[in-house]
Amino acid sequence: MRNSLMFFPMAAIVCPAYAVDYLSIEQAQQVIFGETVSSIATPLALDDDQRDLIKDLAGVRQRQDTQPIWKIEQNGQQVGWLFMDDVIGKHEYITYALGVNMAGEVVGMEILSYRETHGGEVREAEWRGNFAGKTVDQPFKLDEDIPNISGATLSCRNLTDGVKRLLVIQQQFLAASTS
Amino acid sequence: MIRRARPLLGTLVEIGVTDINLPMLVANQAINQAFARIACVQQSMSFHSPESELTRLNRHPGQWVVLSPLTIRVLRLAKAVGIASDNRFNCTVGGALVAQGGLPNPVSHEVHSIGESAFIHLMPSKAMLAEPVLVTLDGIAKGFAIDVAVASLKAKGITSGWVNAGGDLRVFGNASLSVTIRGNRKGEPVIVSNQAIASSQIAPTHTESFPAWLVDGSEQATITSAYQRQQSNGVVTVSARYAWRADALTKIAALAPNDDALMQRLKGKLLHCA
Repeated sequence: MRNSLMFFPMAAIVCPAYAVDYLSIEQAQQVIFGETVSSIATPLALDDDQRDLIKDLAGVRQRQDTQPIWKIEQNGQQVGWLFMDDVIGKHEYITYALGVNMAGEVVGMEILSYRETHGGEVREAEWRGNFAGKTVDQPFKLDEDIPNISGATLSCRNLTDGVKRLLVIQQQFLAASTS
Repeated sequence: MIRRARPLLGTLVEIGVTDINLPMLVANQAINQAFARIACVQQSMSFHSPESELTRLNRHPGQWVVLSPLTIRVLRLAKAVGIASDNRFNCTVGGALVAQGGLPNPVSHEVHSIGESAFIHLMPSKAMLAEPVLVTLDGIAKGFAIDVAVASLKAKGITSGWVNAGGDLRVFGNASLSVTIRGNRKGEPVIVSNQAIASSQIAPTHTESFPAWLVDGSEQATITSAYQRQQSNGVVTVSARYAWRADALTKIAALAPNDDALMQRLKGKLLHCA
């Protein structure tokens, strides 16, 4: 190699600056599941053993004692779940909504709000990946499943971990309750 | 105004729609479709994915490979800017990136570490690599995805707004955004309207947080760039009419930071380089 430089595509533009609210949870529900569904709040309280189980299966700590979850219904029939969750990185705090169908597949994900906790050095990266159709049975390590060769942002890594954790909750605590 | 964000292209992609009096439902459907188009670009042009169109092309040098119109278009743009810049922008450096450990090897055959843009042969619906090189579209595909999203929004009746992929940004219609360019210590915001802007950071050393490489594939590569001489960090910000062009031109500006004539010929403007 005669001449090579390290190259960092990055978020050199500070926009959004430090805090943005994108959607309310109701708006996210409509965007993910459509306008004709209804929702029933079914927050899930998790005891220490359950949180340990999530940590073992997802590889990520379950911080929340209660996970906000909504049962989504269409014409009186359940079509999925909507989760609200947040992930905290070194520099950012992201609240997002995840829609999961009855088969345990991701049907949509929307960022609800984004905060940079200091300074805003949020570096972007060549992180490729797609959560659509992802289930908990598929491997979910960043390096294997969502190739991450050129480096990952904290944001995206944390979101990947968050989705993995919510899918474990869905499989362990929700899927059985509807069968 | 509606703003939404999803994790795509390795970052948070934000779409803003500033049309007044547009029904929420219409705007949201347009945004959904634009996000879907970005995901489509991401999947088609992934160097990593064994199923991507790009990987199919890389795996079959010397053969015509049928590709979608989107992939043909980005290859056409990458080739054109490569030729116009004497391969300072060069999307056939995948072999070198694999050899350096910057990318995983998607093929089993021997490849040249660096090729030329002219090795890419194009027909309306298929492409062929004349030599065994590895094409990587990382330097242009993100900008291209932004342009595709903007076109999709416009086709759905959105007249003004923006698409921001972690700092690579295009603003269209009556919308304008005040943005601060990172690395610009004076911090004067720039008003962006009806244009695209892209930034890249250059560093002389490899870091774990972002082990990506910029490779100079041009004939003039023995001329050491300003950044290497200084051995310092730098941020390059370029504006252009389209995001694919701004994205590609940041790489050219990083390798030839003082070549204003080249930048002008390539229809870009260097906004910041430090």
